[in-house]
Amino acid sequence: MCLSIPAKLLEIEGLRARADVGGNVVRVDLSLLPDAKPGEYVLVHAGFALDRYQPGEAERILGYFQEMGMIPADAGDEAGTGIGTDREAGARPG
Amino acid sequence: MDGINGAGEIGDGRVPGHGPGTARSAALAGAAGRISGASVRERITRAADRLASRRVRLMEVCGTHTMAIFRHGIRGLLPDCVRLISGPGCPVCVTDDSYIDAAVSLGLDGKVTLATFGDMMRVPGSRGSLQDARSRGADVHVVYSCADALDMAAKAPSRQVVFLAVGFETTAPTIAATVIRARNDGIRNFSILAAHKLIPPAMAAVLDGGTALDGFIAPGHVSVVIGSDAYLPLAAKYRVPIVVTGFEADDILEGVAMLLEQIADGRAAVENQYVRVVRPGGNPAARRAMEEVFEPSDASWRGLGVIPDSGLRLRREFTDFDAGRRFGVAMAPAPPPKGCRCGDVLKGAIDPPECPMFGKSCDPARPKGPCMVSSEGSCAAHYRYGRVKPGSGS
Repeated sequence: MCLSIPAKLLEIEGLRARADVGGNVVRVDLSLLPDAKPGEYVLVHAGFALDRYQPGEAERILGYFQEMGMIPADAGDEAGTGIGTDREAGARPG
Repeated sequence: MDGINGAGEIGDGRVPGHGPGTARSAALAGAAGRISGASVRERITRAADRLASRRVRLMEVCGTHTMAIFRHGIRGLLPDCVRLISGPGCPVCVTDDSYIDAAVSLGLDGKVTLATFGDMMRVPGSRGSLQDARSRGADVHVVYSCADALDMAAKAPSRQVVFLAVGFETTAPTIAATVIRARNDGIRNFSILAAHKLIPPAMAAVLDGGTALDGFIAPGHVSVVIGSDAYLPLAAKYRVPIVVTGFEADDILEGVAMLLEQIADGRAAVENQYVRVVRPGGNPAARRAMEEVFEPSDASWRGLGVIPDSGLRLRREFTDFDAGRRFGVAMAPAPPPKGCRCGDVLKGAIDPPECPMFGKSCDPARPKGPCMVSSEGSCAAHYRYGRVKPGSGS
């Protein structure tokens, strides 16, 4: 499964960032999007940012995926290792 | 998501000529509140009218599309002449038994820690699943990212950590980036067991296998990486319309409209409905990482068999990170479970309910085949949502 979720980049240190996903802070790897800037919305798949979203698009998509039950409404966890608290449900390849 | 608002929201704009159960489907669609594009449905109706009574078969090759199509009751919103088929769009579902068996054996040997995406845990191999292996003592960890597996290895240098690297082009660059980091950081106790699959060769294999198709709904997030241009050779070679499509109900309906319009026009082009996110060239950094670490190789797909150049193996410079070599893992072909027809489901040859095991000996609580294991598998989607509208649109 290739589900990617929108995240707003908060702070960047090298190729590692902290990002906001629906109010939760997650760790995001920027190796595949090295020119990303704080404040930008990015698509995150399996912990890596893959591309940018336009701001309006990111919020809409996050709401949509949550509504669809594809990601938990409280997506994200402080440890930054997964989406949501159910890590087994949240970890999906694509 | 359970706040169903009723069919009334979209009732006036329904496409005529669909089967029973549409009110329920429409209610599901209304639940997400996203089907607003009456003009898109008009485009579908107009294109279908131009096709007269010709029947049209469109295949989606993305598990997220499969889920969204069922969830929104999209099949019930389409004219009778349009049939949507779920193809090999779930990386878990197409992973061969032999791979699961090899991972299980490696785990039960007790010499390594396995790290895997969660979806893989319950996939049954011929000697049980990874979950079974864990209950028998194998050290199996679920991680969200391959990078987490590398972190595990970095923190425990005396322990060999093997990441089970499955997934399509969306996932492969994340594994590639992690392998590059492992090399750069000199982490020697990390390796991957690679079984990545590539979508365009699978689309070609479906057509080569004789499945009659009139168009592809191409995946959104795979295309974020490879770009919409990646489908140009396919469209040209097979004269098949391809539309890269987003995930919301309106996106999918518009993708269908664009495909029907191409078919009615007699065109076979690559079009991008999801221009908001997908670019023609994809993500160059992701493609570079994938190309640096991996090279195409033949791969065995469940149900489709071996497809030339449809997988990825580590390049020679990175074979130090190949768990198969490091631990002498052998992958012996294993027959699918008796009676399981996941292979025919993945090819679009049958719908899940046509499998004799569907809903009887195989359901999401006790899955026998991989298409029922993954929440994005065709069988699981049919089981959860498809039965609200039996027999129609599918």
